[in-house]
Amino acid sequence: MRPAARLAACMVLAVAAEAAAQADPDLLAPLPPGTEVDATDDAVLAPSAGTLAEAEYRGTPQHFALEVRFGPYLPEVDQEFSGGQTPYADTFGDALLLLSLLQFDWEYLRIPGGTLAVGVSAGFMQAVGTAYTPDGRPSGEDTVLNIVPAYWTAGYRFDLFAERWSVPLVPFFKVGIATYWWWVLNAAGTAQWGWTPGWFLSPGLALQLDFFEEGAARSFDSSLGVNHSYLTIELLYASVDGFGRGQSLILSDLTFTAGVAFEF
Amino acid sequence: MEHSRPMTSNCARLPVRLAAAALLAAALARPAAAGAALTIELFDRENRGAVDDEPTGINIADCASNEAWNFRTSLSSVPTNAHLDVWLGSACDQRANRDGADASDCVQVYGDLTMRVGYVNFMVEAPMLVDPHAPGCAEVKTTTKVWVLILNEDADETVYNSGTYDVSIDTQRPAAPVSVTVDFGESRAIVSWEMASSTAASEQWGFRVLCDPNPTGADADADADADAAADADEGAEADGADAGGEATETGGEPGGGCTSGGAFAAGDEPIDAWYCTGQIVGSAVRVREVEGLANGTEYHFAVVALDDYRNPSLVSTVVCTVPSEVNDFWETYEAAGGRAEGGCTCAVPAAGRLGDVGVPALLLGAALGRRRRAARDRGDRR
Repeated sequence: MRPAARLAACMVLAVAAEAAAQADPDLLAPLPPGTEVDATDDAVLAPSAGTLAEAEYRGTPQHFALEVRFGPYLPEVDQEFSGGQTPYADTFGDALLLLSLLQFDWEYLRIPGGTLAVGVSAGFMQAVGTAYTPDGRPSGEDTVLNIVPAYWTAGYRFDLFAERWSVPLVPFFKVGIATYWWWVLNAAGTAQWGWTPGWFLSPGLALQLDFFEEGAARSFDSSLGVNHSYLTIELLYASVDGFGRGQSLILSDLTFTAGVAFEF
Repeated sequence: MEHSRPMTSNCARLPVRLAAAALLAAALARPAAAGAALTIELFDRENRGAVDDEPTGINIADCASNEAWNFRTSLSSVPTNAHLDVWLGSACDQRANRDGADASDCVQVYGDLTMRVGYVNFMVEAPMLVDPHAPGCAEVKTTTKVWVLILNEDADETVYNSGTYDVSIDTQRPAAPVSVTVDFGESRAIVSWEMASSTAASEQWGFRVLCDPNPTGADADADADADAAADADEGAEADGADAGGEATETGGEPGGGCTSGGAFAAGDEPIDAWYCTGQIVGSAVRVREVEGLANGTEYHFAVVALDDYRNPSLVSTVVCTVPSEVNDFWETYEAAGGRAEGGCTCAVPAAGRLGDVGVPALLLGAALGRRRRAARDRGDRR
């Protein structure tokens, strides 16, 4: 096809598309109040306003969730010594560490009332303290305990309230295996490293943000595929002590985390 | 057809040749007319690999070593009745500035250099550039202009041609760092300091740390003895300037946590043997770990600042510490009786215990998967 003919064809298609879009705007708009609809024929072409809203926007598929959380953490290393020695407190004090976590979930099963998901999360926290001489004098050196917690998670999100009654609260519960990788640094480098397995459970509550700005939520979904956005807060009980074998650095704690989550 | 050529004899051409020779001689006898300005090029410096290596000017070390600055200028022709001079100073192309009547007049370095087509080379030593009137290494921050002048040999020595080259000079020491402190570690010390408030950050290029004993193996003591005596007066001046520092100045005596006098004292001119670190570049850097120290030995530390010409300051206040064994967290943990084991071998649960958790998890997963497949099948049937 010659260029001139192609250009003409494109222009025709463009004009036709514009004309089609403007031909009957009522088809895409709610009916005016009081309009009577003949259920036998027009109902198929002109559904009621509520039904139309659902037809207009059904949302993108939802399979995954991504969550970023932060919270305080204080490893119970000294628990091993039953109140006698306190090497952790002596070195790092009792200041809370900042636990930062990133979680990825696969929402693989929809069951009545909610969603079952499996996922993994990992994060980082760091304790920095002064290295002391054997006779207790503080030196100019720092010693560091780095911890990378990883959680293998099975979770349930109870989103019945949000889906059915427009209550923007979604309780959830997570449980799983925890693996904390840790390493100790001194001025010369890595002094020791290891890992401590354990388990955890974590009930929480998510505030669905879609309810506060539906337009933005739909735009977020249509443009990026994000179905729902949440603010979350959850309790975290991590029993990370090597399942009680007594040969592990005890890194357990009862704490909470808060963050944001996105389902997509 | 054959053309005939006019006959000319040698006798007929001779007057023409004589006239041309006379004109040429007359032209050469007159003072030459000025050509394009001369260019002066610095093509070699003793203390630099390349002439544009930083710092491009003259600093204290350059001056102290009588660094040779080798210049050259290029001539495309050699004028007659003129000579080539090299002068240092301001406006040396003015006759009045070359007569020596004033103390600020230009100083002649070379007179009547041999001119030839091509390069004419000449050398000027750094102390001459620092102070042409009294060559030496006085503390100055200035620019000296090098002049190459081709002067007509007339009564006023008018300038036939000239060129200049600017040499920047900084032989002033920056202020010594202040608030020098030291902390010990295991086989190491952590030295920290602050930049003197009188030093502009733009003029601060870096720092160097001095150690005694020097763990780098330099023979500090041998050089220190000679230097300390020579610099006693300057040291006293620097002491006053650094009075605000945290550490006590030693002045060659114990102080700043020191139990004995060391190789250097506050206010000394630093020598290479004392440096135990390289150049610590950046005015924002304020701390340095010195490694490789012997536990239980007292070490003396000081810091010098380096300005943008790499001039070192005088030695800062001297502080001391004794490196000692320290425990990191793991050592503290083990000393407390901690039973955890590190590495891959630690805390691997027994198979039975892992199974206690893993088997139910697998069963739960399988059940949920089966339920999901069933739900999907029902959907397909619908």
